[in-house]
Amino acid sequence: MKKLCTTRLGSFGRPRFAGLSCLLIVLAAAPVAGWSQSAELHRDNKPAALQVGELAPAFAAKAVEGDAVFETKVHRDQKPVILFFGSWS
Amino acid sequence: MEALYQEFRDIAEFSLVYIREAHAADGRRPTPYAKQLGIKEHLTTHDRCTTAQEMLKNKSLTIPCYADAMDDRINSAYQAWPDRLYVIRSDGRLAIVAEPGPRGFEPALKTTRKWLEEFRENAQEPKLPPSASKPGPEREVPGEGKSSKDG
Repeated sequence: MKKLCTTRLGSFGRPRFAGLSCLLIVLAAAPVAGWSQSAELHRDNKPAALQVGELAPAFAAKAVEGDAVFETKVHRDQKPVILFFGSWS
Repeated sequence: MEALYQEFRDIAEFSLVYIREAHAADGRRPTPYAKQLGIKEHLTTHDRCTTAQEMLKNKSLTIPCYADAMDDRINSAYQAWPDRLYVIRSDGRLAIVAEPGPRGFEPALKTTRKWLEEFRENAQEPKLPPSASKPGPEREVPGEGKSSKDG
């Protein structure tokens, strides 16, 4: 950082703006690095998008009313499954 | 969705998985609709099931409805939020992967109808397109087999 300020100061030759230049550099650099890291983490944690032809991830889910349980594996070699995902809102 | 279920329930298994709210009244981007009906974020499985039951009643839906776990594991594995449609062939491979959200949902309903009509007519599932991915290894939704019916 010190080196950056010195370089900028040298090229413009305006010592009174040295502090401001330094501050701007810090402000501009910090959020970008943070956002980049956060985006990377998000991307790393997100599963790869499912594609046609891939095996559907197996799961089991309990009925919203009663004790029925839906299991994708149960329907293997029996029937195709139409899966809707959503909520009221 | 309900019409599709009624028409093809004899040849396919239908399932509605209730996931976290898209625009809950107390969420980041609430809709007037959610505010009016008091649809809030679910804090427990009981909340999620109760809201789902109210929705089924309100919309006169009879399609079997199941709740995602509170860690949203199924939603996450299928990247299903805010809403999405998938068709899984009987061999376990994905036949239709809709685009997420309302813009993808409506066209996918039409594609699914066409797929089911073809299935009924030919008594066999439509072939996958040549561009389809290889099946790859069997995957399970993370956390499955441990406690998929948590509260």
